Amino acid sequence: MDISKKKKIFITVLACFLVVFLAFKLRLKNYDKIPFFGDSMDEYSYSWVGLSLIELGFPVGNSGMTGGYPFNDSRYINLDRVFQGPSNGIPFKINYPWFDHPPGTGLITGGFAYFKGARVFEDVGIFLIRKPMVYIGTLTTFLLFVFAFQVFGLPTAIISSLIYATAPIFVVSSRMIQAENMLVPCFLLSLIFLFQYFKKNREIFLWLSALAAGSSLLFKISGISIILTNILLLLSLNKGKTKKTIKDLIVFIPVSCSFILFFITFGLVYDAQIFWNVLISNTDRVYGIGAQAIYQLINSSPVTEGKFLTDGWIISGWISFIALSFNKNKAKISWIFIPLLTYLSTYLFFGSFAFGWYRIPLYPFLSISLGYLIYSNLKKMTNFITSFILIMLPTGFLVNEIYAQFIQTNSSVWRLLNLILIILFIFLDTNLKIPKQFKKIANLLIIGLFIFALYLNLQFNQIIDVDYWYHIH
Amino acid sequence: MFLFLRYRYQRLYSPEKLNDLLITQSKFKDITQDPCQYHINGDPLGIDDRYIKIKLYCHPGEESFNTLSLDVFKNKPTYTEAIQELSRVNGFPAVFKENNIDSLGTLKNTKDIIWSCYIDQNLSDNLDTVVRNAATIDCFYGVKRFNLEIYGYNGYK
Repeated sequence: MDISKKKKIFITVLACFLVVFLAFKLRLKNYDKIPFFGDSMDEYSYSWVGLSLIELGFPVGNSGMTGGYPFNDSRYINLDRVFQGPSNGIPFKINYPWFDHPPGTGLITGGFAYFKGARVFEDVGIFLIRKPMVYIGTLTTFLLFVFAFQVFGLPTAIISSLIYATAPIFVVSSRMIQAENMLVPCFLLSLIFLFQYFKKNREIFLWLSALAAGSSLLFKISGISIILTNILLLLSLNKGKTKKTIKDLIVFIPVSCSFILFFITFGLVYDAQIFWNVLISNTDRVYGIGAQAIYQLINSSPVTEGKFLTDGWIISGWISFIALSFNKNKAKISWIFIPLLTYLSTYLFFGSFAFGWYRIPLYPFLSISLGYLIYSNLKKMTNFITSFILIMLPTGFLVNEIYAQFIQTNSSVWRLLNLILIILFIFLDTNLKIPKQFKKIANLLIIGLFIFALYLNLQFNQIIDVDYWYHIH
Repeated sequence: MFLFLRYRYQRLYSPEKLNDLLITQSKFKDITQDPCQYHINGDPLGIDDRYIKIKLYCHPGEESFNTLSLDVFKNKPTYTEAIQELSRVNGFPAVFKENNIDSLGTLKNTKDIIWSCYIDQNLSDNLDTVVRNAATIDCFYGVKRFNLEIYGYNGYK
């Protein structure tokens, strides 16, 4: 192996390690405080299901779909002193056998709690059960880096994983015990293996991709979007090779879809009738996201039901996603487009209440879209104004949140700075005969602005404490 | 998988074990000796009048106001059972003697200082009666009925 190759590997590993370490530290800080315990009772419920399966061999939890269950067993389970605050004095409605979702998420968090000594429902405190989510959020950042690296290269991997590792809404959302946080690593892992399959043409990778995609069904039925994504990618990237496509699908579909049998078997073991009723009761759920769902996806950033954490990174992600649709390298772009659009379709189809966690599987792909667009512009030394606006969206918001007083007293500096940069970038974008040196300087300005945005992310993550969280709506 | 899950279910499950899992207090929980340290906030929604309010007055200015849903009981409870459930939820020990409170946490009846409970503002000498929906039970420690006004409460019979 020559020295330059060794150097490249060293830089890649080092960059990956630093980003993943940063992601871990940010997710760990205040992990048991923000979001507040009780912001989503699902967090407890998932863990109870896991713990009861281990202790009793029987799934017991709190259901949002009480219509499917024959009765509710109301109980005060005062973990984290929840009745002092957010519960409003309402006892938990305990349902069993619990069939809201496959039990994978609960087995991970409840299993972790059991491993740490939890034996009854009151033991399952948020400080225990959110710990695995910190590790899974870190793992997701690592997988995002690997996926972006193999499809788009090292610079895109660094930019997008830095966005995903530090953007406050991604950090906070990834701590929550929600099945969507389990879907994301399955999603990325299946895509990593599928990419390797196309690259190396070894069938083992197709099997691994199918296993990773299928395992998402152990966490939530909406994991079907991951299977669909992989099928669409196989159809799209095998275009013109009918025989190969059929052969691939004959392997992929049965292997991945077979995982649904775990959930069906799970239902049949305990009570087939209740299992069926709960599945059917999904159709009675309120279509809370409504017809304005896409508008709200871009316009609002909920974390839980009532807590919104405005974040410009999501809007920038969507803009870059739209901008990338004009990219000529369709094969490459399909690695972001197909996952995003397939999950979006699932979100719109299965959509119920407008809870923030339903959007979590979109976040890695929005980060990659943004990372790839910023890097493409830097590489081509073009579209400076686009990059500027994409970075300024989150930057402006973060500056306002962190340095509101400073900006008010020094508004003329801020206005002038924006004006100069906008005129400069428009000038550079519209004049073809600009010397390359000027464009290099403009590139440095964009990189500087991006680093500043990341610094603001870190600052803002420090600001999000109990007091801050209490005041946001 | 079917057989494995079925076997575990048959071997491990019993309604008693389920009940223990649901109501046993956590070993990680802070067991307090102060019955006024914690409370059950708010009025439970969507249960009509199937609740009672339990207000504990430990010392002037040290109070715990709680609303307890009656849905958590299999049968309609007595006031004693309701206070026992409150002690379990808020994590303080409760002892009853002769149908009345003997001690809550460290606040124990003595010759001069006792717990006096009023159900809907009427002094009760028997807490083993079945609760009335939406009733309020006020339990004062350390005072006799004649000097309840130090808590700012008048009109109690």
